[in-house]
Amino acid sequence: MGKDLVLKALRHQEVEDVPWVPFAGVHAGKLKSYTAEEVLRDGDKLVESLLEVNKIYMPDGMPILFDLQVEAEILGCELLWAQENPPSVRSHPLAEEKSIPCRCSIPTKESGRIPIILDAMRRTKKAIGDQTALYGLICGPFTLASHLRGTNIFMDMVQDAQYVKELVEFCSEVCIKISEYYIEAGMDVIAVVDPLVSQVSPKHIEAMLSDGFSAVFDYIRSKNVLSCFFVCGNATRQIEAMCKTNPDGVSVDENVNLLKAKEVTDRYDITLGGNIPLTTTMLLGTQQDNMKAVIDILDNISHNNLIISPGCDMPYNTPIENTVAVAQAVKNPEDARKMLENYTAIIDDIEVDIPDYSKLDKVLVELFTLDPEQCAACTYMVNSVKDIYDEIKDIADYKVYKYYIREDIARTRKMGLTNLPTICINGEPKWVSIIPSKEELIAEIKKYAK
Amino acid sequence: MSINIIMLTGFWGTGKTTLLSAMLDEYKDEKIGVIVNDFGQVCIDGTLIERDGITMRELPNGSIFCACIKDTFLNSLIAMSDKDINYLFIEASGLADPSSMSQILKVISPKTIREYNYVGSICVVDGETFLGYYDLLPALHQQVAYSGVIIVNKVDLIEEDLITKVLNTLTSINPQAAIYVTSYCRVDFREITERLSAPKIPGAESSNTVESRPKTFILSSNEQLPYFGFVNFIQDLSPNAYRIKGFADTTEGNVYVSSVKNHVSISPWDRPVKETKIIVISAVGIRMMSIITGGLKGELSGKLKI
Repeated sequence: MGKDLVLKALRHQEVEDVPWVPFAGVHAGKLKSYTAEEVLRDGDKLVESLLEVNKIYMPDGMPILFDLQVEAEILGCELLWAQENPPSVRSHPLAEEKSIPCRCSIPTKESGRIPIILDAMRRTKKAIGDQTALYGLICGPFTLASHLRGTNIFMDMVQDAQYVKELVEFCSEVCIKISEYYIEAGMDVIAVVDPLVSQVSPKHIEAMLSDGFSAVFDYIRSKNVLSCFFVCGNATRQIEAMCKTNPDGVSVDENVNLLKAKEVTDRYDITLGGNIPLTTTMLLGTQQDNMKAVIDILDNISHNNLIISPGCDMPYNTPIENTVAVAQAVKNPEDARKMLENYTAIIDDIEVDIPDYSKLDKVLVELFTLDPEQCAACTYMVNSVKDIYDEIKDIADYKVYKYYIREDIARTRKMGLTNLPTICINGEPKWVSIIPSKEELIAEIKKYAK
Repeated sequence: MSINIIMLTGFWGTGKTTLLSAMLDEYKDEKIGVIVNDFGQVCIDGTLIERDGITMRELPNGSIFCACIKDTFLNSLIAMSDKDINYLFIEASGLADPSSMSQILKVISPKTIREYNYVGSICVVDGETFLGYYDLLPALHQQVAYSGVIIVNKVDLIEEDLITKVLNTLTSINPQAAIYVTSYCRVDFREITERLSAPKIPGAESSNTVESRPKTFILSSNEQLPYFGFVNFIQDLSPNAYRIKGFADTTEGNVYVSSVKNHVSISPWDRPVKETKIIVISAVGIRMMSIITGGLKGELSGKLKI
């Protein structure tokens, strides 16, 4: 049974086949023609969509709700809802006030959307819980802390480590409480999703974040439930620090070389999940591209301690046939190999103009992102520039590129960028997956001003 | 006739509850009300001082001077003013900063049925640990500064020159307060009550904020716990906890657990224990969760839950 494959893989036991866990968050809604907002706010539509995911994609495990803003919304962040994306955080209650929220504000089972989520979990568990491992996703403590404090948290990490530690500890208490509710509602795996962890150095993770993450994973284990640590972005350097926080699994996206990551996770006997490229392959590729991505993983990575998944939450408009192709390739790799024999990947050949930066009147700051709305790291990187725009607008312009637009993909490739998000100044990559502080950013832009 | 308020302050494990128990025995012929403020989500101290004829209210979940539960404290004071009592003892939680007490009584005075007379605050200090914590925790300064009487407790455990240092520090903070040096809170209760006075310095906003709350963890169980495994577990936690207290049902009978840093006391408890409940106040933040789960192995595995 598929569920056992996931449980065995996360318990580091030998498996007969590599398990397949599609992260159909808002994309689940597409299967029943519901918007992202509808599946994230309406329990009936959510459950109906999840049952469709289970039917069409043959998952061994699947998440119930992929929305990292659930906890932030309860703690006072305003959300901007979208039809094809999870909502984004529009206000940060601690942006101007460096304080720690009261413990009395920790969400209860009645807070915000928690009742809807718990009900959907119970109903899905009853319907398919015997055959499919169900994942309860919670927003990780560092991303939650940044939702509350905004981009200031990166400056706090430099100037006031104790504050960051205390805020992350509070957010870890929130994670523990939400985990408790989701475990009670029957979740087999709790995934702590913290995209922003890839944006800070391993040294900072260990100094300010690790205790909180370890507490959450140790709590989940004490309840006899399995845990995963999901990250997005180029987390190559951070994987070891993530492993040390003691999760059962780690899941990464296409920015990470899976083979190298597996060497690290195997040393800690932790299961690695990943990393079919979300946009180039799942959203914009062909069925063959998707099969090839799976076969490449299966042929190059050892099968023990491995789960095949998309890099992160699947884009809403991912063609259903592409995901079906992934499922087919995971379940029937030999058939997929035959179909791919005469296939070579189609490379986009779109013409894009790279400006002659030396002739521009103003400095050009270019933000190359996966998706500035959906990828939290990208959002914070874009905001770091927007926040200082008033101060630099006389000497600089900025542009945002999105890796789900074909022209932008071509531009990213032509610029030779291999990891996103990245900030370039006059064509030179300056920050790759790291969010600069306000002071650093302004100083760097001024260096290029005429 | 007005109701006399006597407040007891002091860090966790200094001996406040021991003092309160002894005072309740001393004042057994009086009509007494008690407000017990505990830091964790459940009250342990209430069980320790429970006795017939006493009107008691338990206020868990943080300091009564913190915004989180200050309104509950004010409402309790108003409700208590209607009871047939002459004395109201308030045992504040370990990190309570009582500097706003006079203002609180002023604010509620239009709403109270009978008037309150704030006799003063008795601060209990652990001679062994006071100087170590004093630098770290600003609330301890305020507890001393706003007290009328200071009891330096547990002096049997320490050297003479440390006592002198503690006394010098206490006098520099509060030259007016009467200071008693003792062990096991052995003092003449009538005498200290007579010498007690309300703070002479002006009231201030309490420094208690939600931020100044250390992490607390509740461990519970409906099963009988293996005694030796349980004792070892508590001993392993104690160096990283400010305080551990509670009641447990073990294979050697019911026990009362009281640990202050490395001093662990597990003594027989002859009253029934419906459910094992232990509060751990962490001195190492959220990391205590990993220390607890790391210790819940072997024969305790699955028996004691967080």
